[in-house]
Amino acid sequence: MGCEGWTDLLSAYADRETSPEESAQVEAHAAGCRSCGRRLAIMAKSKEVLSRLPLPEAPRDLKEALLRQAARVEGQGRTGLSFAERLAAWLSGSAPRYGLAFGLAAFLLVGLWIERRQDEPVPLDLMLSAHRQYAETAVSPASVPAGADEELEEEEGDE
Amino acid sequence: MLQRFVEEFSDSAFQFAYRLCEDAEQSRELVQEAFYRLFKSWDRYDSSQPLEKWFLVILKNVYIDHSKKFDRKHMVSLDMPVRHEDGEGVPISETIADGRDGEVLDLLEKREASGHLEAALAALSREHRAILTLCDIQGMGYEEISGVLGLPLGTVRSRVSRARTALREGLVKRTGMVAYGL
Amino acid sequence: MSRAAACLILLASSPAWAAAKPALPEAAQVLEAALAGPAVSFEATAYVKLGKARSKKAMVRCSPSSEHAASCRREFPGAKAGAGFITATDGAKEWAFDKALNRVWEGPASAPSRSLAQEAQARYRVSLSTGGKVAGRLTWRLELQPRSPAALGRRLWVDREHGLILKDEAVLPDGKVALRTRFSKVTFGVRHDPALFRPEPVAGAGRSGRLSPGPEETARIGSEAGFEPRFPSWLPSGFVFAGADLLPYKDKKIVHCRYSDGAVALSLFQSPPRAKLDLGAKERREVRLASGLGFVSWTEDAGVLGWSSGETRLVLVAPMGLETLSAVAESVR
Repeated sequence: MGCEGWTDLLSAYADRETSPEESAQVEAHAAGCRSCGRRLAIMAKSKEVLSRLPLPEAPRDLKEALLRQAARVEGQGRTGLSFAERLAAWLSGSAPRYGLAFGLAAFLLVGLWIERRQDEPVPLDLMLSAHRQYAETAVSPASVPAGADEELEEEEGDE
Repeated sequence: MLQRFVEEFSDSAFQFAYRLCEDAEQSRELVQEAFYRLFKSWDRYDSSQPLEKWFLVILKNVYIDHSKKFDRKHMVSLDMPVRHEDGEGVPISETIADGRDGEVLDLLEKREASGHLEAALAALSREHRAILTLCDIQGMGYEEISGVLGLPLGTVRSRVSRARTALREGLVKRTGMVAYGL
Repeated sequence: MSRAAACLILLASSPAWAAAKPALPEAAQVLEAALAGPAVSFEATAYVKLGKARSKKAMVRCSPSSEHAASCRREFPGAKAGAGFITATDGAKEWAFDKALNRVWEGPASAPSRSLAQEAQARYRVSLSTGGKVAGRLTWRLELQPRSPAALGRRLWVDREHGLILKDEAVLPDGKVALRTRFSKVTFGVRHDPALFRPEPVAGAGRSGRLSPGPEETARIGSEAGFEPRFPSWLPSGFVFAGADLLPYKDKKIVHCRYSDGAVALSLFQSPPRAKLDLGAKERREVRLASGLGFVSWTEDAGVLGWSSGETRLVLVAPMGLETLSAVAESVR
């Protein structure tokens, strides 16, 4: 194959994700092919420089707010926080300076899992079986019968 | 455990988010929402799974859920098949770039290499930038990436390769700039 | 540009080396045209098949309109004479008639709050391939893979010439088909009498609004349930409110609103304010709706969407994709 065909293998080799056989193939080819040898060198060098890129740090106040939240969640054990506690935590800890983040807004719009430990939960399964009963017995306003004609299989060619 | 995770990983999370959004404010929102979901589902976390990977999946899902907000026009997603991915053919520019490889290598040896790479990375499509971030910046293996992005292993391999090709093309353009003193 | 032409757009930037393969149109454009509705009038026999149940047959007639949504009439014949279910819309109003019950529903043909095509783009990864023949016509096949692994996928076979959806499948996460609608015997370019799409006078029929019971009935349900139920203001064309039940659970009552289009059942459940929902071991994923966060899940024959509005928990169950379920959810006021 032409040099283009080697691209994926070279790339995987640069990531050390090739099988031993593939690695041997790449090494043998790159030794004799200037173009591929260079491309491999570019990949490896890019990878190396990228891994050392200076990247922006998370804003300090964000980190601190998240740590406070984490402490609270862990402190509460696995039962989770009540609605009021979570709200208080978010408002005091992490409301960003530039107004409500969409995360906070969504939270305030009352997610489905805000727990109220005092109420007996209603089981979803109850609803699902009620739907199944409806679907099976009284699907339509009129009782429309299942068609007498059997479905014909369409020929699905590839064109 | 959760606090230690936040301590060690919030920077990394912010960086990944930043690579996706390229905007500090949006990255902040993305990270906040992702951590919120993590805290909320903490009692369901299965400790046999690496926390970092689980969190990155959450982060990716938050990004996808908000992709409408972040990038309506392009309607691209991290998981969307990229054209040419199944080897339909070689992009024309690859043959042109072949001749300039020597110059690209020179560029990468220079002190300003990181600046050029940053610029070339920023010019990539979101899918390419995201996968190279996971692979080269976060240092993830293909299997981990496959888990985070929800892509088959073969697709990860070919997409990383395509991303590198695109990155190389970007670098070729920058060698042109250097030559003309831009 | 006509919708038909849009379906045939070739990738403008196709390099020469790609000429050997058949040029495929842009998936997003084919999807948008397909969801926008028929571009040409037609008449067809439709088969609607839910899960493993046998198909229901209907006669479908449609005329596109330049001003609003297409006019459409769908008729399910009854088991015997004097039975049957008809729905008709002229783009502005929708009307349905159940012969056996002698009941008529009427209401506005509302457009969804957000473009279905845009919503579909957000909820699915869309890909296109050749689809073979359906109803004797060459098709493009659109695969809509849900971004959430807990939501239903969709497969559409779209007529290449006219952009009409000839086959439509809702696919469960385990790969089974929850709902299939398929056309056979399609005839294009048929001239339809506009009267077909307008309400027919029916003597002595019971009348109700299309999507919700009247104020009296609503008040009755409310007093029995202990809270005021809410109703969607948008449902896919053809659906009507079939009734409401109360499911008792311990000291609470859950309102079950039932909707149908003659073949497909859609349920909307509402729990009393502040009641928590026990999701059990059901596999589910979070999903973002315009109103906040919700969850999506599935049963062996339907998709499930749950969300909160104010202090009420609502759950929608139907063999439909997330784009349709969320359009319904977001219309609940």
